[in-house]
Amino acid sequence: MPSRPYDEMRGDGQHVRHLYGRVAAWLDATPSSLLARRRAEAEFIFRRTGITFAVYSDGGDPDRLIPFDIIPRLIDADEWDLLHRGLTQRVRALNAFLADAYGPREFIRAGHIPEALVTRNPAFVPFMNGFPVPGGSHVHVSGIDIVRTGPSQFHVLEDNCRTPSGVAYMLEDREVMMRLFPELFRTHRVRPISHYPEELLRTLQSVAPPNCPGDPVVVLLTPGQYNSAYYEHSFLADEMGIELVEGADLVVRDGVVHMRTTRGLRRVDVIYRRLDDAYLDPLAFRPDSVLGVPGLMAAYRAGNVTIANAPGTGVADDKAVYCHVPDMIRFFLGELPILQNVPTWQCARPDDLAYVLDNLADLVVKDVQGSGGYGMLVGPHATAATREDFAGRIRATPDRYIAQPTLALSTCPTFVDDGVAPRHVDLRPYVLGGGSGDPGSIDVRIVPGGLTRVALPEGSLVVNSSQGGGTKDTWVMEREA
Amino acid sequence: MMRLRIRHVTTYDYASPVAATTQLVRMTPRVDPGQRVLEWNVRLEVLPSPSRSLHQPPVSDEIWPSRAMSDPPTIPRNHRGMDEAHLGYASAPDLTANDDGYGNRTHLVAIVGPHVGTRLVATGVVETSALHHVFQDRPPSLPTSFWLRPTPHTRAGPEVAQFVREGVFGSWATAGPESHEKRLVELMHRVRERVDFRVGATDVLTTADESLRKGAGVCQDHAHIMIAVARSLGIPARYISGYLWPGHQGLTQASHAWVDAYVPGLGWLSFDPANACRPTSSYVRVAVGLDYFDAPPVRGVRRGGPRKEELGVSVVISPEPRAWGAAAVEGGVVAGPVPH
Repeated sequence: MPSRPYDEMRGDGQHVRHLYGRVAAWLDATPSSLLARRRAEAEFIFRRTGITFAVYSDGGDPDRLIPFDIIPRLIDADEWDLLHRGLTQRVRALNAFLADAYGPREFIRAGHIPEALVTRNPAFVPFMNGFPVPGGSHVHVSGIDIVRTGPSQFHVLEDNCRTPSGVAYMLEDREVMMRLFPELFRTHRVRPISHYPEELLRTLQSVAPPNCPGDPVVVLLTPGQYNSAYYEHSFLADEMGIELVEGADLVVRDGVVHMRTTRGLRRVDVIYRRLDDAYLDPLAFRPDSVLGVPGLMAAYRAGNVTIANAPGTGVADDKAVYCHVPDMIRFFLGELPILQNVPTWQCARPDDLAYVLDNLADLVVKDVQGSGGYGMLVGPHATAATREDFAGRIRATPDRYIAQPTLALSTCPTFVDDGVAPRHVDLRPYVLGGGSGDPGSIDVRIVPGGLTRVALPEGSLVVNSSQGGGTKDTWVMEREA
Repeated sequence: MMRLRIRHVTTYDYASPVAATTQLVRMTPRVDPGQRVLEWNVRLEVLPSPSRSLHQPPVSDEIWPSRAMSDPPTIPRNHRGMDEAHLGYASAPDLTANDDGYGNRTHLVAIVGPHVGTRLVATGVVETSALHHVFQDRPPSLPTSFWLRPTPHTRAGPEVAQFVREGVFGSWATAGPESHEKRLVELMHRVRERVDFRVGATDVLTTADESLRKGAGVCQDHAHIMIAVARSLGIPARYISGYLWPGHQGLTQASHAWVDAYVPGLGWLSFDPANACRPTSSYVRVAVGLDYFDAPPVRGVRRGGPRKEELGVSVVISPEPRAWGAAAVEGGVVAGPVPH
């Protein structure tokens, strides 16, 4: 690991970047005691609003507050322009790949990806085979995790194309910052993000199914209040002014999905589902699922309803498939990738496997199907015993693992117990993909910024909220006139 | 060439009213090389609850959590399809027809409102040819490698692994297509030798491993075992459900299950491990899948009603007179017991 990572405020050196001038001055002028008081206020607001994130793995109170850091992370107009173009390109390519994977499979035939990586992928949903999705969009909502390693070095760490969460934190973080620090906010021309729910609704309306009779009726399907992201589900449904429903509220009749209301059945056209594929429909997937809607997939294939995201999008965000995204951009769009991947070793390849086992102490190893920071080894921070144990698992099922260098993620000033100190951050922008008819040029909308996640323990590189990560408000600046 | 007239009737009778039924039905012969569907019709009839205004159905959901229904019960109003002796059955509105990604024809049954019985009637005529045991898939079919995916019911557990070791199925990689076919035939015979045909020894949830350990099962189990072995040897294999005309020997005709296996250079070959024979023009392909759960005639959930339903299945297959001679010449008679 390099001695010092790139710092969002100070760049490579000791001088504060122009972008952060006013934030630095504010930090200098504000005593720690005041910052601490503001942080306590922020926590109070979050607690009262009920924004918690349930973590069930380690006992204790599962409804935890995700720590919020009161120092914003700033992105200038040029940086955002680059990210915006790169994200648009990437999500269009991922979407084109999905349309191809469930259609002609030309990407496989041209030899760009091993067939088994698609057809034997646990996330591949045969029910989608040969089905052209409404508007050509499979990935209506994605969260693309970006890390920065230098002034203009942005890398995609992973793509999340299933049911990415966290966007409520992005919106609430902004609300809280505007309330706690109105002066600081006023001295910056920050691009707004509060229209995200509107953009999401517009995206969902743009993929109304072929047999939709009029203005599409959109609902949000949640697994229920025990889901870790339930707060977000109810928040988004509220903000969009749509019904929040559970599987038992929906019924399929005459091939059409209806919701039960106090005034009888009402037709539903688009379902923004926050339920995993396996639970969507007991007639098509897990027969024991009580969370889904029997007959939903048949209604979908009949053109009577749209499911967002489309089932089977997990094929595109598998960590082994990730290696092939730059190729997808060249193949489907005929463009050069704007955002780079992190170099990745695939343990399924014998040479890569040997390298990974020899260099475990320097690498981050991930389970290709894992998420949320689980099933992962951070070599430099692990004990020799843990590494040895992990090496055994890799040898047993090499196909399941990939490895990446331990990146020097950029740091951002963060208010911690001993004052303001640099902590590692990443960025998850939420990319919306609306219907256009052509899978390679879906209508992409991105509200500026995204959710900045920060690893709070000193030196830690794991930003996942399930692993003790926190969040920051992300300020994308207007272009200066 | 053979023409088979098929009538497949499935009835569900409930001792107490059911509040809602949703089913995905696979009862239409596939459009596959080697068979042609000349006419086909799937019809649903519903027996409404006779006393629906007096008491609400008890809610003892088998699959869904209990939840009162807020919408008023509705009964299909179309009485035109009154059927034979079953007075009181009303034919339901058109079923939603679809493809399930495997090229199987599905119909969606969705009955809302109290009912005490349903009846699915699938009838039609299919022309089959004896050549259909070697063929290529038609697009948009799944790539052959897809058919290597293990499923919980076709996983190669310890019993299957042991069975593979005992066999002489090794060195597939070096063998040519003809020798592949020969070995698959041998595998088919060995599965049948090891596993007696015995109704009631297993149920739909039995895995390949369990059935092999018991040494008994029905056609579904024979198919699962052959699939498990084939996939563990790197041979793409899939489950076929369909109809079998048992010829002159059998009087009851049947739903059946068998296996396709893929041999590079040849294509898909069909095997019937339950009868230890290669499918002929007496076989009609209805649905394919990774295992039984992708291809059953009916997969459904219901709300309310009794714990168990009375299920009745009747399949009647008769060759169309014009094709009799041809069938006899081809030897469409299947030896051995006819599983159902």
